[in-house]
Amino acid sequence: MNGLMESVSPQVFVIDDDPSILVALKRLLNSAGYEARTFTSPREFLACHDADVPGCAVVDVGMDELSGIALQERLSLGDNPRPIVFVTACDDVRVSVQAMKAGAIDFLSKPVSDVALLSAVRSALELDHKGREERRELAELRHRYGMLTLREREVMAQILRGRLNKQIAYDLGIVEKTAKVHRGRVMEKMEVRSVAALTHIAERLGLYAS
Amino acid sequence: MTELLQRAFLSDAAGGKPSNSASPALMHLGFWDRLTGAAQLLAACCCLLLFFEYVSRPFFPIDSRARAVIFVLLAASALLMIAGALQSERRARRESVLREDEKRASLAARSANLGLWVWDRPNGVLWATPAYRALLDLPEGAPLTMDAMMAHIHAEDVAGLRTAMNSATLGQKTVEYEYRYLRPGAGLRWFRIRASGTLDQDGGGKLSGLVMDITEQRKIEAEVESQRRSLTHLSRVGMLGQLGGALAHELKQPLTAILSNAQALQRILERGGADMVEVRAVIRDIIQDDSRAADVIRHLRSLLKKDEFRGEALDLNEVVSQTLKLVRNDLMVKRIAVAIKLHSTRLPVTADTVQLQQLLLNLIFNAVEAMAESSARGGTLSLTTGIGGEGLAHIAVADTGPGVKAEILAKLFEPFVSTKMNGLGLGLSISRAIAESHQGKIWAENNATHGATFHIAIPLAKETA
Repeated sequence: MNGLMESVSPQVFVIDDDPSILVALKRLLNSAGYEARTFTSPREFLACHDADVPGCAVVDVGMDELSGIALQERLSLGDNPRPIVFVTACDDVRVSVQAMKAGAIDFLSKPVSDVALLSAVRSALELDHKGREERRELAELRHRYGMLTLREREVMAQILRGRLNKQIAYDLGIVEKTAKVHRGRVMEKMEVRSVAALTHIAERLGLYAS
Repeated sequence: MTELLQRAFLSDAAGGKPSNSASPALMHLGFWDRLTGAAQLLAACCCLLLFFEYVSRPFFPIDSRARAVIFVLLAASALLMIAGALQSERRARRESVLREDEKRASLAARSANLGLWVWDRPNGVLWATPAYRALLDLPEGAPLTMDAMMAHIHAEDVAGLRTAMNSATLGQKTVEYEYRYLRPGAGLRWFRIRASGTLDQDGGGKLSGLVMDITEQRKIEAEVESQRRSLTHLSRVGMLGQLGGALAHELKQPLTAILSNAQALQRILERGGADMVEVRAVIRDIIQDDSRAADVIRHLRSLLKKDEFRGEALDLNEVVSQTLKLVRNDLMVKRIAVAIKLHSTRLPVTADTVQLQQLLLNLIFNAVEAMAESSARGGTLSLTTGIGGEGLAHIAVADTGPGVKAEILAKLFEPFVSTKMNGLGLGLSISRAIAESHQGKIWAENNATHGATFHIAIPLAKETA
């Protein structure tokens, strides 16, 4: 059930055009037990970026070729949006509001204190981890639902509406015993024991919306 | 004119009352005086002879031929007297004209505070007008000699003055020299001397010329210069407001690195078992970033300081990229792209970094404002350096704004001409003053498509290496 993502430890990607800041931030992150990789430009970072690797990015807002905000737009695309902690040397309120609205974890002013940076990184990594877990679970649930036959899906829809086997059999024009077998298959394939748990899964799969 | 001044000086030297003996120009007229005197004497003798002849005629009758000779002599002397009178009349007229000229020249010399002098070098005689004596302020009755005068001249100027005087004597030309004179009563004065030299037949040199007190003029020049400096400085301080963000950014970068390094080190040490190689590396980096921060502050101070022009050997490419670094952030926030094209080799110039940066910043800020006015979508700022022919280094600052209106373009660099709502119109006139203090030029033109380009050309320095 666990994919190969679990085997890769989370990374902190630090992107800043100032090499001495990169070195210092990497040291700080390492000293707090994080693995950090540094890049002097967004381009360099994007060139070898793998969205499947868990982790977060610490990005300087003011960089020449591609601004931090533009990088944020690029990273938010795709299945695995990467959480971003911004650091900036110029206090531009407009930019910070824009960044926070676009879902940045935090917007820290340089010089940034270790407590603030590390706690932002911690919550970014937690968010990334939680997001990945959720996405993986959802994928798993979708997979289970995909295993159901058409008839079983019909039966599942009836179960979710709280119908009894007798009513289901009547509605679908089958005998009650067959309906009972279908119900057993649905519960087995969806790996649940109660209707309540099945309802929960259906909610997560968004079956009620359709 | 020089001759006239010399005569004026001579008449001035004689206390304003010219006399024949002191005025060599009038000397040759004495012949007619003597001739008239002789004619008068002759006429008087003839008259005396005729009188005696008349009285003694009954006793000693003389020859009628002898009497005729006396009459002829009398007539001749009368003619001579008439001629002499006419000549003296002419002379008097010429003298009065000359005197008038002399009076005017000496008046001009006095009112211009000019001292006139003649130095007979081989004989060591120095003639000077009272005005000159007054300028020198030597004690009353003290003999006026070259040495007495030289003793009061500022030590740094003595050698230069001597060289100038020598070159005037030997080259038989006119030289000018400005020097400081320590007047016993009135302190330091600035004099300008103009000397022209002539060589005698025997090889001895004679120098003559004038001296004027230019202390006041110097003071005004210094005042103007100091006001210009104040203005340049003020505009620079004003510019700091615009640069504030960029400077803060420049300062925060090293501070960030220092803080993060220090806090990393703290954690490493707390954890125990620190790798000493790593610890040393962290400390080395902290020191390095600290000096980087200090450089930023030094730069800031140099911008705030009111310094005199300081020419250093610089690479113009370097100055342009350094300046661009200061505004990079500002440009990014305003969404202005930068196209920088530096000349492939060094562009050596002798310039004042701070002033040159001020000049560039001024042009860049203007360009940015022009582009911000014309559109909200930014624009492109182009900075180009190159060689502008005839040993000139050239910088072009181009924008993609609306350009400069034709009627403004001609007087763009004059003070108090502004196209901005709240502009004082001093920026570009200060820019021109800076360009000129670098023996350079600044001019502007509108681009073919859109926007304007400002050009700066300053002389390339000859590199010894």
